[in-house]
Amino acid sequence: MFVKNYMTTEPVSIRPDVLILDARKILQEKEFRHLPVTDASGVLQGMVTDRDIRSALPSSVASPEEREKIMARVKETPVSEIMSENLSTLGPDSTLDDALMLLLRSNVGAVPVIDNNGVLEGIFSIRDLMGAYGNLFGLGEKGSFLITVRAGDGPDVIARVAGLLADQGISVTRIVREEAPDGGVYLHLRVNTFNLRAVHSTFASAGFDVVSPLVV
Amino acid sequence: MTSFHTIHLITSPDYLLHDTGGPDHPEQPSRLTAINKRLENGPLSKNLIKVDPVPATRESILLVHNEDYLLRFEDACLSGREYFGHTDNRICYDTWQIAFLAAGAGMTGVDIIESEEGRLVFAAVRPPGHHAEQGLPLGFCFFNNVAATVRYWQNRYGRKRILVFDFDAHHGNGIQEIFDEDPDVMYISIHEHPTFSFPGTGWDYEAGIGAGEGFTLNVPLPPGAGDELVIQAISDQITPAVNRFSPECIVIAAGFDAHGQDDMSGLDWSTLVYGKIGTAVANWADRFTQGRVLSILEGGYVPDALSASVETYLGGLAIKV
Ligand SMILES: [Zn+2]
Repeated sequence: MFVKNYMTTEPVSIRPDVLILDARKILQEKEFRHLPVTDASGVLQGMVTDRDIRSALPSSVASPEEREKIMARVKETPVSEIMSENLSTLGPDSTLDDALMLLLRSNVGAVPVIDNNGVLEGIFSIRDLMGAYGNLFGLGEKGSFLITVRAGDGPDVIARVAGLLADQGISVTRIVREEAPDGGVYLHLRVNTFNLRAVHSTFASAGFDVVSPLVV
Repeated sequence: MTSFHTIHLITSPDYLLHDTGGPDHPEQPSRLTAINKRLENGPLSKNLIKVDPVPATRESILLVHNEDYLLRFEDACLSGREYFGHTDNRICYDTWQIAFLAAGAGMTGVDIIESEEGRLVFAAVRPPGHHAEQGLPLGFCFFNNVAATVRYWQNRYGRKRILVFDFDAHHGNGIQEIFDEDPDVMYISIHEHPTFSFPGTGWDYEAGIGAGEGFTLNVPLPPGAGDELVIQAISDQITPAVNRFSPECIVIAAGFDAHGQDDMSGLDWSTLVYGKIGTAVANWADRFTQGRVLSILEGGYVPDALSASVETYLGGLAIKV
């Protein structure tokens, strides 16, 4: 549930005095979109993205003279001039929920993770977030599948369903309750068994309505 | 009058000795009893030649499973454990020996085909095999009978390009894992979508790895899919892939649990569609392998639906046109 378990650790970073064109080369070679900028002791100073660099370069509609002038300037400019400095960051104790809210709000693709002294610890991207939730939900976990039942009211429904399956020796690794936009309340369960027959008969005998997978 | 080619049926009463712990387990000995009874009394009876399987050797199993796995499996069976790896995978003392006999059935079939005694072979075996990986028992499977047969065919007879078509309702993760990087074995599977179905693998983007890229084809079907989608997938996707691959040999992982009456999957195929699948397979065989096809039983958990589907499949495969 914590960012530190899913972030990219020891990310490539650069110093503020690195020239823009050198930063661009690193981004292109490594196929990165984000490059954190740190000082000599590793403290985060800012972040430069491929978009920052593109907007520093001369536009394609500029005249040849203008392009040359801009390029001459860019060649001598360090990234510190174009990097973003007012960064949203995550900390060592940040949760995936924190990261999700931040990424939703901030319109960036990745967020640096720093320790309490501001030292860069990692970088956490939208892709990392998707992987993390995929992992939490057990996506692609071999030997399992998803089953959805109508939950009905009552605070004890998760406990009841868990108990039912436990009594039958059916292992369940995830139970998620959803109040769906259609007004229905569902429980989504990841069960680790091949015995679909036993899962269905367990739910049927307890009066639960299986929504999927249906057995026709 | 309809007439049929000869089918060699490889099966053994010893397969009933694999005890899965009582009537609550879906993988029952009665599955095979029902198949045998139906075939013996039905329209194919005069065209069947029954053959006893020869057990697989340890060496031939080691071509698809690792030594450590064999030791763990042997220990689990012979020390009286009730299951191996997961509580689904029920075992008994005899399971260890019967697993060799199940894996050997396909190899016996290969010998029959290569000696030109027969062209169509159906191995009615249990335990099934297509979920078993190199080092992992899964979904009632211990030895990967189909994969071991493929390796035997290649090693013993020097055949190279082998097609495996798996129409069981569940993805054959074990067959895929064993041949993932192998461009000589094309694995094609049609199954219920992995989100809703055990074992949760077999997305359409899983297409092989490294040198094997392009030699795995997964066709997931939505829950509730009926005959139409199967027939369409065979004509639009699967047959063209078979034609491109142009196999020297064909092995079928023949599972029948996509049947509408089978409560182990959400697919809704009719008995009749298995006849159409059989005919499609026979057409590939006519085109590429001089009519030779080896089919090995995988799933199918409602004995009546299973036995009717097997009979219809074999009818479609063996019908003379
Ligand atoms: Zn199956």
